[in-house]
Amino acid sequence: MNAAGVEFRGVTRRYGDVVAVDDVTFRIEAGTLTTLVGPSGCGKTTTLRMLAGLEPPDAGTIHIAGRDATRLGAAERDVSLVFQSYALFPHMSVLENVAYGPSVRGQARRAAAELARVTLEGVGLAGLEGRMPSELSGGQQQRVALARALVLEPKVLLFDEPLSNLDARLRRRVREDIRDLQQRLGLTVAYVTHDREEALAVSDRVIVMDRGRIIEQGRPLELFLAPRTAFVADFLGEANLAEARIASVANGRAVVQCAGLSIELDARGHEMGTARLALRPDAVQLAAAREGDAFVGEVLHAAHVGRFVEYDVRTAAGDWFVARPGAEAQHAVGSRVALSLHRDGAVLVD
Amino acid sequence: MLQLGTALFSLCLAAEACLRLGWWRGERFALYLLLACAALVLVFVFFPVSTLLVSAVLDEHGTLAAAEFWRRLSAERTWSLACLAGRGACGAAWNTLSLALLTASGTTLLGLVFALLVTRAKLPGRRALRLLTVLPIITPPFVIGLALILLFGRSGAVNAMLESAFGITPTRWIYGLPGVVLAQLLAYTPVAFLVLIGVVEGVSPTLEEASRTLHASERQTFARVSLPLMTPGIANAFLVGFIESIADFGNPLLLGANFNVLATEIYFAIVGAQYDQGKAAALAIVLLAIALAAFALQRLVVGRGSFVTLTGKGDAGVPRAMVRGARVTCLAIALPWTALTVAVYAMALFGGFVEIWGRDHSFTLRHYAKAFSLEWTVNGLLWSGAAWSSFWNTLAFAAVAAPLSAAIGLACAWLIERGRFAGRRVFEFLTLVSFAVPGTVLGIAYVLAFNTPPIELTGTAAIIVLSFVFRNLPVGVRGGVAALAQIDRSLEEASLTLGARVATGLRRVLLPLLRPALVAALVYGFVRSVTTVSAIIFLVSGETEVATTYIIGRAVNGDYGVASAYSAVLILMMVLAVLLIQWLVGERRLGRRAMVITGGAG
Repeated sequence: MNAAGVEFRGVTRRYGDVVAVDDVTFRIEAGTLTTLVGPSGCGKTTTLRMLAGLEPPDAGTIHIAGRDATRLGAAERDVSLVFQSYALFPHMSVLENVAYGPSVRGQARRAAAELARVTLEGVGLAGLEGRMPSELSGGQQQRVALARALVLEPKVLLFDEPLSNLDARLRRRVREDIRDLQQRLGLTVAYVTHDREEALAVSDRVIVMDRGRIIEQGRPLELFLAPRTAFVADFLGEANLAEARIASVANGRAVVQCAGLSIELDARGHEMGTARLALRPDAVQLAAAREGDAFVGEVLHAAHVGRFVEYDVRTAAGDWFVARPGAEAQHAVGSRVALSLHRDGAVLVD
Repeated sequence: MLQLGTALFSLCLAAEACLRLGWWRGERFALYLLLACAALVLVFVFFPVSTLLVSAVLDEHGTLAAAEFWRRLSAERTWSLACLAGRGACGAAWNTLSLALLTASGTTLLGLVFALLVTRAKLPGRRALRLLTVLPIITPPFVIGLALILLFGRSGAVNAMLESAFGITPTRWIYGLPGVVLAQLLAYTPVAFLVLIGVVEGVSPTLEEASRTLHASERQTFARVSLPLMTPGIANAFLVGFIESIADFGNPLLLGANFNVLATEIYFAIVGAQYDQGKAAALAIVLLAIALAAFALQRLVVGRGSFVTLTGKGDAGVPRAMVRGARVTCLAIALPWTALTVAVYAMALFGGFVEIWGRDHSFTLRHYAKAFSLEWTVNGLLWSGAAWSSFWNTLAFAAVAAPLSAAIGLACAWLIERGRFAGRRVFEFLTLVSFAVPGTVLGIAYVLAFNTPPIELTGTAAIIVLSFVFRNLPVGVRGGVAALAQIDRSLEEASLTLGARVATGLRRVLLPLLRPALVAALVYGFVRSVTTVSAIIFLVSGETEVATTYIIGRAVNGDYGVASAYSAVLILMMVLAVLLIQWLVGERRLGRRAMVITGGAG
């Protein structure tokens, strides 16, 4: 396999006065899948497009396989992109779409078609070669787009929100297929999404972006369990952010006081004084309030979302979002509940 | 030739310098295309028009003469309001304006009536109506004037009938404003219809259904939802009618009599005994100013806000059917008008088979023979008909101009829609400006600009072909821009990431998808080249005479038989040419289900 690593060094992209991507630096190791994730407008798609060579950076350099590719056009890079809209050529059959890449790179018609046929078989589309894109389902179109990108055996394969046009059930299957394919072929993949679940599920590494900057990057579980920043805690874990006080620090452990409760956490370099605590919704436990409970609140909303019940609880420390396993609400709207914190879901953030 | 070489060389030098400086990083193809298009548009649109403007302020010795310019510009003959006071004729500028306002209002109204009927009243024969609207587009506009003379002229068919049946003495009412308005209404209503049918169809039925579910009556729904949504389109149709009217030359020439308009005044200033370039230029400036003012006004009224309701989302719902009252009113307008149109065309097409109109209505092939006879001699086939040379000229000029015009137009459209360069708006304006320049003005501008070195083209075939190409350029540009806006940029990007060069992507991805736009540009380019009079009446010479100038020459001399016969042949030739173009370019193949070209599920 000719998978290659990618490196961005201080890359900036402006549209007029707007800085879409602001001094971004990161590496993607060969043969790994890295997700660029963030809210819309965070610059993730622009980053991907610069990697594809569809937009030039205003500053910084882009390296593919250790070589400076900043000045190379899209046609000169060994990079393929699966578009959000799939961008299938509507006037070409499935086979012609997939054979397009090899054909414009000088392969004979017959060889290009044969290559396309093999690739289509690889993504499970054998037998649909003669169809037009408009005659395929959304999932099939997606796989044609994938085959068209794969047929060139690119050094780097890019996905721009590949699942956004699929329905929820299909989404999980396709995302598993993509991950499976990437690992089987040892591809280097950059994957853009705004969906945190998708990012956590498929990636070797996750890069979280906001307003053109990289906020944090790391392994998915690491970022989910121990985010450094409030933004990532909120974005990946939907965490509640609470003002807290660090009462003491010893041997890298901090005693944190929050809303009348006290827990011991990894200090992560924080010192005594005020601090911010991120609490994942599943780390907050609820019980019917009793006399003498230190931290109580009132249930504002309760909603079943399948395997969880989601509560909004009004407390002295603000409105908290709590998710408890189970299908049925244990606490009625308007009832008073006592809140307690589980250490695994609490983390000190900047 | 040397100059051309130098110009090309410096162009390439500039392009390479740009690439070196890092502008247009690597997009050599696009850069060269832009420089080539910009150079062409500058030389063949901007240069002649500015030459015209300059020549109006110079006297015959070529020195600046402001007073002279003012005298020409404010001439009594142009601006007189005498007719309001009942003392003689009004100035050509006022005539032009009032004619254009009447024609534009009339064509818009009629066009809307037909558009509503076709889309919303379940009429039998809607297809036939569509066909009827195509016919006028392939008809030289002055043919209508010709037919009106045959119908309502001094010895016209209707007048002859009225005289013999009721003893009504024919009058000359057709000569003057009424006749010109009638001819223009007949000629340009189909154009308004084509603009408005898109507009009426563009109003999303769901919005009307929403209005109905909110308890609005049909009438309220139409007045408060549908009509406001159509406003930009209606303004557009009005503008098109207005521009066509002020640019029309043939009908005022044939029917105008003492009703002078700017287009004919310009013609007489140049062609008549007076040969006064300065006067022609000054009149052309007045005409140009009116045209540009119309554009500016339309922009102001409509604004840049787009009311397009085609979102690409599958809109369910069916268009509202018309209520009975509206339907009856529309039919009451449309049916007589359709009858009149049919009569006029019948007259235009069959007038050539009649001996002498008004006097001897016996069948004859004499006029066809005079124009299109062939003889077999010892030297082979002899094209002995009088019309052959102008016919072949027309065919050749249009056949060369149409592909050029379409190619340059689509290239400009691509640069405007996909390019990211400073001055894109200016470039767009320059490519579209010749749409606002009435044909007569462009003709005069070409005469003035290409009469002397560095580019000396007077009397050649090249100047005619060039005037066709650049006069019709906006059609290709607008069609191309509209088509490209429907094609998602990601298709070209996909082609790029798959390793295809820009030019390859254009050829293999974009061009097949642009086929409908290409066909439209070719057809319009060809048809407009064949039918135009105003732009080229100054440019033709004895050797480069074309069909329209020949026909109008016959008609002005009262030789209606030959004029009519030739018109019929011309129309037939264009029908064949349009079919040929469609067959050559073919259709685009997108599978069984039609889909919006977003490149995917969307």
